[in-house]
Amino acid sequence: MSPVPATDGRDGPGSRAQNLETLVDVEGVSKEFRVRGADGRSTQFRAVDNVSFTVERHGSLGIVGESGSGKTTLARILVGLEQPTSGTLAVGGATLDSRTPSRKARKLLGRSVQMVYQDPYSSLDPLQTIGAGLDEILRLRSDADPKRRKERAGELLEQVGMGASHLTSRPSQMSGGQLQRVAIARALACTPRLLVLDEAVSALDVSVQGQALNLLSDLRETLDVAYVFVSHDLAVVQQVSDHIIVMHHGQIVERGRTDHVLNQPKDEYTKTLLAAVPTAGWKPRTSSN
Amino acid sequence: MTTELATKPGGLRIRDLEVGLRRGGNTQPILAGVNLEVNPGEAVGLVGESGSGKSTTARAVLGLFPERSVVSGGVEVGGRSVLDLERRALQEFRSHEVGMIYQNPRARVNPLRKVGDFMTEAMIDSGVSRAAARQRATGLLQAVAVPDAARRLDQYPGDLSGGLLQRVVIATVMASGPRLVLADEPTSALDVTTQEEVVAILGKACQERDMALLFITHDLDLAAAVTDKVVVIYAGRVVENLPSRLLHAHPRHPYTVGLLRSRPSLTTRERIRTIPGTPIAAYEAGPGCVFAPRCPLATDICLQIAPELRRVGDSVVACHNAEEVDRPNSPTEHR
Repeated sequence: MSPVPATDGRDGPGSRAQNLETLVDVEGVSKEFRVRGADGRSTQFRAVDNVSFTVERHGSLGIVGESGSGKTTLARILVGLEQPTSGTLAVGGATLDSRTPSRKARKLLGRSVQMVYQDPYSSLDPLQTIGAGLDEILRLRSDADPKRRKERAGELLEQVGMGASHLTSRPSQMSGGQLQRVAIARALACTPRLLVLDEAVSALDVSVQGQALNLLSDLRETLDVAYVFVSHDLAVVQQVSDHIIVMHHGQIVERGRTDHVLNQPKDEYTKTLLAAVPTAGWKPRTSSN
Repeated sequence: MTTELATKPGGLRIRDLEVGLRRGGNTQPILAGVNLEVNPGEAVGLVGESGSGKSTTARAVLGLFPERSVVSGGVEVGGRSVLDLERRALQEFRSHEVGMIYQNPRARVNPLRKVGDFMTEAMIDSGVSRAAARQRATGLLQAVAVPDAARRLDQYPGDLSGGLLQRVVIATVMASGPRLVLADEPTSALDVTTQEEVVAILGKACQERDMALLFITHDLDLAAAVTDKVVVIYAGRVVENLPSRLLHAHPRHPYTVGLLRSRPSLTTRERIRTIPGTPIAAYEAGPGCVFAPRCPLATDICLQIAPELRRVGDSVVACHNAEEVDRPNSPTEHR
């Protein structure tokens, strides 16, 4: 298997036009879990059901759905944290299928795919300074000397709108919005080709969430990075993704350009989902009346 | 629509509520001026970001305060002052006069007891026969659109989805017939389609029974859709109180405007005009307006003198420059 192409991930903005190549190719991926039913007998539960999609280099795909739709399982497959039961997955030259052991999958994908989780409090080590945490990643992922690593850690923090002064801070001294910026900086430390963001702004306060969304837009403007943005929040997905897939019971029920799908939904489930989002003038209804 | 000042007895009335924590020789404020009213049959949304004091306000209504706290101001429910209730009366008040609905229903019900036991416990305690209590519980579940109501009574909480369980909690609260329902982020853990059902049911149930509903949430759009009035709280202070139908059209506080602008749209992509900085806690506030450090309209007076709540148009707003505040879609930004 060929290694991930050596790219510094820092192509200038001008190189974007010729970047219409496929970065992620997911083909017929399914994931089954063994669950115990109400009668105590164990059955197979299909969390992701024959899902295929691609993400272009520098693209941004939103995956929306409600709880149990399979969107988080799909995100975890993309970063190599779950092994698909069937189907194949190719990311930037590395190809994986149901037979790839998960340790190997993480190794293959580790450099090119990084994940940002919902809760920054539980995804950062409370005892480690922000600088030490970044240094650890850079030491593992590059052969830069300590001085260069420190510079790079400072650059990464500046990239996410924070000063290098935060290198000595610990998570307990920072707000949720700052911590999520740190989580993004950490994910960017090894110049990944793909960021998988699983409800990455959902835990943030409204006024801080807007800042984080603008940051994500800015980063994609300047870096050679693609997003898979998983969320239940349709407006947030609208803000950061060019294409969207709508999942329901493990299957893709609708896909297309984000503005098309959200403005002219074709699928009944997508329509239901959109109709339930509170906006100006919206009134909640019950299905029973 | 009732006017602000003509409060009917029976609802909730919070006047100049301040709560502080004693730390050494100092008192650190948590709430620094909360004023709001909820009339019977009316729903009011209390909206704020984390640390703004919305949950502390809800707990204060129940007469629950942190240890070593200093409380001033007034909280009245049905004309009775909650802050002056004796221990026994306070217990009585909590179990009969106010119903609480929390974010996570699973944390509020005993997973080892059947839904029916949870719902009928208080009824049986008050002398209703077991059979009558079960029949009443079935009716209540039907009223909140729970399918197969009778069968649910013999199920365990673990057998029910989050949305169904929240409806069980709502039905149980309705059973005790409170004057006031406090719903603290009641749908934040639910999917949007479930959320729609639950808020519709909750709003209808309170209105039909002429109960006052205080709906606490971080979601401005949701609050506006479910309530008659929206109260915006920031750093332990009410900064604006306005009719929900005017929230999007005529917000008067720069913070309300900023919150509305901070949310992305469902249909069109534009760069978000964010509020700079992060929310502050009540104890971090300076002598002037709490929002001044983040406010695009702030002037010298804002940094020095805290604005009082005053009426501007249909809003009651704490802002020196409320007349200058434009609609959220207007291009005006910094002065």
